[in-house]
Amino acid sequence: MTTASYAVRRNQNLSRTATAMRMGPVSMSLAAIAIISVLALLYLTQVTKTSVFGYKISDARTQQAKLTVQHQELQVEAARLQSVKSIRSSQAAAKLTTAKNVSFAK
Amino acid sequence: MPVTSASTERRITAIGVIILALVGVIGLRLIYIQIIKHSSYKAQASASQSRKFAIPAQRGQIYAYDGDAVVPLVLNETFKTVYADPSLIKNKEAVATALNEALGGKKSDYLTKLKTKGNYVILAQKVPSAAGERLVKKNLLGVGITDQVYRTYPEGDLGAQVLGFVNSDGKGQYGVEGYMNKELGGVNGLRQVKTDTRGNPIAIADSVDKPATDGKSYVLTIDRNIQAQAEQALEAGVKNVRAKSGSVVIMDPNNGAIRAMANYPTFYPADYSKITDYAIFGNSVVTNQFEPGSGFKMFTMSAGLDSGKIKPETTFDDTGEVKLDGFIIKNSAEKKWGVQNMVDVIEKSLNTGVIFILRSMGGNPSNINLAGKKIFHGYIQKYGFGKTTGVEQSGEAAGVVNKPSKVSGNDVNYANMTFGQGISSTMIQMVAAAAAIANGGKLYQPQLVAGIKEEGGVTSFSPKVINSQVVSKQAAAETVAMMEKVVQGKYGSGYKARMPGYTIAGKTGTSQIPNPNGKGYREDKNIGTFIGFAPSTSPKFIMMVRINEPNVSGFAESTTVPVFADIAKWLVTYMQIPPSS
Repeated sequence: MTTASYAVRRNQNLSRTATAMRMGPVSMSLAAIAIISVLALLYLTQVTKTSVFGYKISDARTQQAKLTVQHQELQVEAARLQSVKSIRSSQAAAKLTTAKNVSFAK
Repeated sequence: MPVTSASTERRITAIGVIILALVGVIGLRLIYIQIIKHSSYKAQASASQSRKFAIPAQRGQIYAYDGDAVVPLVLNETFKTVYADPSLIKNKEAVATALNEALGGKKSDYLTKLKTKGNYVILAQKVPSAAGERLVKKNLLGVGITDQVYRTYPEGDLGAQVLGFVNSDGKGQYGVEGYMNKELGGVNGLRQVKTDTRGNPIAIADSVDKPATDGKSYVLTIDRNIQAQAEQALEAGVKNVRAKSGSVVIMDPNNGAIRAMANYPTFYPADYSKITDYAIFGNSVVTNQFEPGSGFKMFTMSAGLDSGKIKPETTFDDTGEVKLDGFIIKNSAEKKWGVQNMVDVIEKSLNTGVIFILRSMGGNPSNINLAGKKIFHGYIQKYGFGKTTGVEQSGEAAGVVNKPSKVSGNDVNYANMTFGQGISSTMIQMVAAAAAIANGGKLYQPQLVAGIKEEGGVTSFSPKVINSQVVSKQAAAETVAMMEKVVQGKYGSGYKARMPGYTIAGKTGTSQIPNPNGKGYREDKNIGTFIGFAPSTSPKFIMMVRINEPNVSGFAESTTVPVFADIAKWLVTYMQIPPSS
């Protein structure tokens, strides 16, 4: 053992103060019940939170389905407006005439 | 120390035994419930606490081309179906009024339905989502609403037989829908979740999530403008000659891509349930086999030229008829042309001339023999007759080709086959085989599906070559030159297809219709066909027109050729094909 380590040991406060507070069996039981209650509350909070997220996911899925339907409706409407029959019966097409003499640039 | 009497001890013992027995009974009951009936109760609990949701796979959509752009032909659209449990509805009058306010329609109709006995009645179908939401807000007891996906056709009846439809069971029928039902349909998914008391899914419990695999969306080789033009011209053509029906197919002869397949009469796929004549559903271009008639002569001629047994300048003496096994086969015009060469055979459509070719293939120009029939049969097979082409359409017919044999009547059968009788084929077989002549000898599989439509674009399928050289380039070119005469020549029956500046090759055919009661052919009815392509030496399109049972006199030249000409004139402008002169 070195001199330095003896020095540390010499400076140590070796006196011990006895604690006055002691927990009896009733206190221990109450403390245990309190800890269990807190943990149970924590668990319930988490479970509730998860449930809320579940409902949020469900809502988001419903919203997604609604938007998908709307997207479909718009896609179909756009396709109908651009269909051959719509174009043929459009006012713009009514003003067009069939090409008679077509020339090709060589 | 207290003294216990014997009777007390007995009582204690009895109570102990009773308690032990009760514990035993409870224990046995627990064993029964928890071990023996474990799986049954677990299943019951799971059933009441969890729900299974089917995740429907989205059916693939179908697209076509508009020039280079991809445009939709078949889309999915979600509508609402409104139903009710009449037994739960007390004030039916008020509910009918509310339904009328939210959905429109007649209040009396709703009331009638609500008064029906039973627990389930459909009140309205194909309800738009906005109307559905109005109904949900009314919160009617006993009235429910559910989503239902329908196929929607933005182009109406365009290409109806090519597309087919989806029946009420969600199964594709006819056309592409029928042929590619599995690929388009996809696979439904499954979600199994724990639920709350209201049946809403909760996220705390274990869940099974198997996502749906949506069906693939396909792009067809069809060009919607060509399809629309073909349908319009066909309808006019059929009505002009008061015919029963008609069909048109237009293909790119250089890769087998089908640009249009039209049929008349037609139907609206969205209203397929209103059709009573189911024959209208079929795409006649691929499903209907018929005796092709004189249009088949181009294949006999190209076979003779390729086999080296004849040349364009080879001559024979046309006596107007050929006698075979007690039968007399005549030319359609019933005329004796005298010495004719092979170009004349095609231009004047001489039955006697193509029988001469069959005889020549056997090495004896005055008789049909087995060797000649075998050579001819070999070419028919190489052209793809007698088997399905594999085009992506349901119900494709293979046609009938009799094998060569020494059986009595086989010679007459083969003589008839040279000009398209005694053999049956479909229009798609005819046009694919004719394309092989047009492009220099290469037989392509007719292709209707161009590729798969994905987020990033279209993954294209490659053209499939069935036979890289059915006949030599020279034989094909010589046949094409003869077919030009059909349109340009003095005696050609395709003269109505002439277009200034363009060389068009083609061949007409007027087929007889076999008697439904057995022997012979019907005198009063026929089928007119015309196959043509342009420009003849470097074709950009090949087209076959068929008109069934026209009510005008004359042959195909007056029924089918005008329809061909009508479409071809539009096509050269649309496809920007410059004239050669």
